[in-house]
Amino acid sequence: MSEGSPADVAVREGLFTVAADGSCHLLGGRCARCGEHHFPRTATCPYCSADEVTEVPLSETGTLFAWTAVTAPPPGYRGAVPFGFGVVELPERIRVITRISEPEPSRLRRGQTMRLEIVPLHEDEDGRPVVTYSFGPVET
Amino acid sequence: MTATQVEIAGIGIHPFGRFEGRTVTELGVAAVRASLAEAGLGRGGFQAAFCGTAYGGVAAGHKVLDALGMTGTPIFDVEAGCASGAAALILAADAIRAGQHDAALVYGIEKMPKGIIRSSFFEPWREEAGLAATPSYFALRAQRLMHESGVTLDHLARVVVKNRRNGVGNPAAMLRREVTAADVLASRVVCEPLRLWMLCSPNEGAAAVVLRRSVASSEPTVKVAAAVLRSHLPGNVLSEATPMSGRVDDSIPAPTTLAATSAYETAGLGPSDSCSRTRSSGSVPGVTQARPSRTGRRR
Ligand SMILES: [Zn+2]
Repeated sequence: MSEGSPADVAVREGLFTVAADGSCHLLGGRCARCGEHHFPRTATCPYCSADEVTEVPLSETGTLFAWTAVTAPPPGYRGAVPFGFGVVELPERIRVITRISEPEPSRLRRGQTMRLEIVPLHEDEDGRPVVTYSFGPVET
Repeated sequence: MTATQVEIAGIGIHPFGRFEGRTVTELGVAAVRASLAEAGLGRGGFQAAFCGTAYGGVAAGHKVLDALGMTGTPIFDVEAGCASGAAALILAADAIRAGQHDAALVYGIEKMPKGIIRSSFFEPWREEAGLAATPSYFALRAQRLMHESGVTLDHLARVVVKNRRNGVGNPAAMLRREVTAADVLASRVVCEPLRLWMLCSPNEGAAAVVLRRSVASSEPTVKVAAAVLRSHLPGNVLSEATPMSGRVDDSIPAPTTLAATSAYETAGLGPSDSCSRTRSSGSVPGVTQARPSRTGRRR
């Protein structure tokens, strides 16, 4: 379960945290040897193979690097279509593959500010919402 | 001392398309048979076999040669995503160059389900979260290409027009009708900017080649000038490996570039040599290959 809302089920444990005030963060890994960040956190560093990786919450906002929308449900996916998909660049000098909350590609522009949010995917067998992370455009 | 040259002694192909009721083994048998017939070889005519497949199942290559009563030699089943067939060929060519064999059989067999490719590469949560649609990763790469190079949507459509035209005269091709750029652009948007017809159609088919150590001959033969495999480097978020993250660094060379550079170097050719060609991997992550070849050319 994600920490903020006990009724919700995270699509996978360890991807993100939700604080009581609703703020959320992706949980990345930072390598003590080479200093590189990665996401999701893995036991070994994908850059230098060290196993001195610590969990770090990544910045909540970043900029849009690339995006598209998926118009037909891919195998194993039970959520709604179309949905946005793309890459967001975070201040930790890391680019992350993510859902994009805006499913119409023409409404997005490169470099715009994006904020992390937790979004519902579908319901599990017990009727609880299964949730995942997504980045949505920040209204300016 | 001259380096050993590798040449193609025979080729065989089972058409590509949809063949309900025919097993992947049967597709492979047809291709292998045809390649051996062209090479004039039978059982005992090759010392090793290399079979490339990603969806063929356990010991798929063994099943093909078992059906032909040609087992007994070493059989290597090779999986390297979209580069599986090329990886098999590279292993065979290198083994011949190393003096291990005089002749080796190489075949690639596949029978893919319809629709967006489902791959065990992706963990179940990634499928569930919508982060495992292979066309979406290609769409991001196409978008970046358009942003960085001035490639337009029309250019992408014209690649399809060219590819479809190649199929018109090829009886083994799945898609044999000529199309226009307007047709391509009118097909359904799968992941902007990619239209349905811009995506490879999963299908079924098989191809085989017999490789042998080149011997002096007056007959012109096709030599394998270079066959190279490279994998991705870490850090490129849009790399063939479809990672979940990468670093802010646009200088990481693509495996296609690494493989092509190495292959050109080995072959003593360059991109401007009109007979050379490169092929990069399709949608399955992890590897890519470049394979220039030139008829009758010696290093
Ligand atoms: Zn490291």
